[in-house]
Amino acid sequence: MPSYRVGFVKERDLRYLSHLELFRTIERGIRRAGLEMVFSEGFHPHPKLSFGPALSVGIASRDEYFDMELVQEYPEEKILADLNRVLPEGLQVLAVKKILQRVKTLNAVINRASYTVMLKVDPGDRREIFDQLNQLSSLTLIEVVRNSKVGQKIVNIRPWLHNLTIGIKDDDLLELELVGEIGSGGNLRPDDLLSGISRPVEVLSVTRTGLWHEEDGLVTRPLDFCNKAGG
Amino acid sequence: MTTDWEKIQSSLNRVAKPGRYIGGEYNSSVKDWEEVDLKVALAFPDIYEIGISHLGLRILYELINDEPEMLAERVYAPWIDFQGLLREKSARLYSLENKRALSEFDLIGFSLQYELSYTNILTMLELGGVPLFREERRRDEPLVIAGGPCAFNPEPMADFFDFFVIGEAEEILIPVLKAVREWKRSGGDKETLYAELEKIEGVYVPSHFKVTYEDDGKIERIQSTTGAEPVRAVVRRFDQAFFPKRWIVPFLDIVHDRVTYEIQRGCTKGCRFCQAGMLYRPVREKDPGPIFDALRQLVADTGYEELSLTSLSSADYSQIEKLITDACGCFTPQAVNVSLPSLRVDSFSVDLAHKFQSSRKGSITFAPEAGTERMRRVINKGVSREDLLVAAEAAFRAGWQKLKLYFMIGLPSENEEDLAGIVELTNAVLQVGKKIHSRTNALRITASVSTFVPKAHTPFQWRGQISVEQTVTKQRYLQERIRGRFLELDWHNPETSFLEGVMARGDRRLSKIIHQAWQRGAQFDGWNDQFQPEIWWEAFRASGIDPNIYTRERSYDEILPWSHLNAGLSAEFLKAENERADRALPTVDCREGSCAACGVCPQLKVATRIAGDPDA
Repeated sequence: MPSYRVGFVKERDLRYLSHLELFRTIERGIRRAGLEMVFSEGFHPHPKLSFGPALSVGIASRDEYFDMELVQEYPEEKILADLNRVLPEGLQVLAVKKILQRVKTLNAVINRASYTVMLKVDPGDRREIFDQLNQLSSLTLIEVVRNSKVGQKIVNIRPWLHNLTIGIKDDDLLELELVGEIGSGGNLRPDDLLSGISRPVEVLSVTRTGLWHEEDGLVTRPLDFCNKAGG
Repeated sequence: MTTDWEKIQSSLNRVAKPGRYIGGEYNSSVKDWEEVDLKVALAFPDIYEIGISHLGLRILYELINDEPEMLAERVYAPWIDFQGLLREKSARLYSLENKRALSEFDLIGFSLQYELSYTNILTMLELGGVPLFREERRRDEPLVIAGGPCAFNPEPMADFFDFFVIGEAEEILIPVLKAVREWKRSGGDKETLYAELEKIEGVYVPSHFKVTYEDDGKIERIQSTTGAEPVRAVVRRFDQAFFPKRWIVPFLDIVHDRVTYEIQRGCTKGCRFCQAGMLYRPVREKDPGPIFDALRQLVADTGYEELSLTSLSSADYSQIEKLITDACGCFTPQAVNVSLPSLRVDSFSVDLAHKFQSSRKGSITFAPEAGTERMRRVINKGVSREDLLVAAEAAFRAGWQKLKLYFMIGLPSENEEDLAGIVELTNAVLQVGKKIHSRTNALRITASVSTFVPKAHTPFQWRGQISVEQTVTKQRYLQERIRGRFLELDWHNPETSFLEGVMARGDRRLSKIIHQAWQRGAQFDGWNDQFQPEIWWEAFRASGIDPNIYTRERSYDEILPWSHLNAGLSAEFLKAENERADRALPTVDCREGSCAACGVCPQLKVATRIAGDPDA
């Protein structure tokens, strides 16, 4: 049965949906669009629908993906239009591509994520915060406290930080652009970078701006996997 | 100017489940704020997941929004973390659609489903920037009204509300709102509006009644100052009644996460403790054809994976078997589950459940309500021990391993034998289960035991409620005996049931006590982890009112706090039923043919309607 990879955005107030809430909202949207999904066999059948790496509650994204398997084949542009007709405001499909060959799951293949973080700071602290953030890239060790099942533990996130640039938007506004590791090789969280800052900062917004696979400097986007070897 | 919404928007990820406070669900209706001339906030005094699950407000929401010159927006009780955020940011509680503060609406309508949500109403008004007491609200501030089952004795909340809608609101609400709109244009005072509204069947204006009290705390007199005689509103052609087409699909995992279609209204089985069974008479069925068409459209338009055929007693719907068979035939292939909210205690119901429940992993619930044949005749629950064991056996044979039984303690004339009966019946069901599932560890029988709370407008409205101490004793009796492998016992907090009983049969002197308890921090009183009973007992002590006067037995000649509100039931019927209880005499369901003269049909000019009857 035909499978499709769908690229979409999750923005505005819907950034406050949890991963599970997003999953259900998309699932019901697919049903409303009249697209019949393939279900797994067994006692509790589930639709064959899978998402890329989960977004934390509160983070918007301009580059999200899910894969779905349908009972019937449809033109990609029809799927796109039908979904957009029935999705709530804040979710919008940007691209649909038929998966032409067996590919790894989104979660297995995606290992990079980029984010834009808007920070509000006291104008008097701006210089110092800017400097502290700028120094992060030159460090070899950035330790943050993570909660795990067995209590708190300290992890070094430095290997997961691949790129960081800081822009000054206004006297009291800083904009961070960062690229981090995501998936089985580690997980950089945008707010990890703020844990060592000695002055107060207010996070105004966090937006995920990209998800891709990167290996030996070669970048492959999720939709590129649909019709060519790789993954 | 920064709006309330803008003040908190970027901090929402600090609270649990921020999806509760964002709106924007599919099929929610955001109208142009400036283009309408009457703005209604529909408020539910509990959290989002409970409030959005409530069918009544969904009906009224769409009904109002279908009017081009009106809008309805929703607001639910904010959880404690979000209350803190609103206070910290000096933001007011806002509606989910246009994100307007409650104080910006013309009218706020609360749904009164449960007595222990009353304090949440005060929290919501305060956070919304609306003065709590009716007397404090100026003409240009919102009117605050309420409906729902508790509006049949709304006296404890009388000081806070402008008026109540008692009964079924869908046919009178638009005329009420049109009258409010005319009044806003006219510039008359609130009294002018009240006088106009009072002419509409179903409207009750509490300030038009003067209540005086005897020295011993009993009511001396309830006197109408305008001659008004409030009577329950009723939908006479329920088969043609309004029902939502644009069903809101929430983001969150809500309590009833499905499309719910009301297939009939009213239940006349006549259980003497049951308030809903008295308040929503008579039975009025919709026809299967239109039900089916509506369901098909709702399922397609929501993308829901479950639908429920709801009513007070869906297994009694005359063509339920055909409806379930057709619904399963149509929707199961689309991976949409069909369900019924309530089953009868018989094998017919089990067969139905077997049809629609493809997986029997969950539990199946039966409500024998009482432990002995005698007590079930007292409460007119026509279920025998044999019925229950046959139904349980059918359920076990169909594959269920978890079975839940609902019982009540504290029913009139209860003795130790009746408590022993609960233990015995639970064990008997377990024996049936062991016989059929002899090689499993998953077998589980849960006895869920609530405390009987006498309610207004029922045959038991004069009966005493057991005290907290008696409740504890009876619960302990059961705790000591319903134990062991495969057995589980649930019970209700005794103080919760007591406070519910005080409110259910209370009078308007309680408004001040509710206000005081709320000021001392009472809220979410129906939530076990939030309920602080000592706050309430302090508020009672401070006011000099003994709460026990509300839960005590009353005599027939005593004036009940709700005696000026006509639910359509004749006092003779309620008394006769109360006395038949003493003699453990059954009264048959009037849909089987013999009228019990409850008074509703002639008083309210309404009739039982069974789908497919030639004269229906």
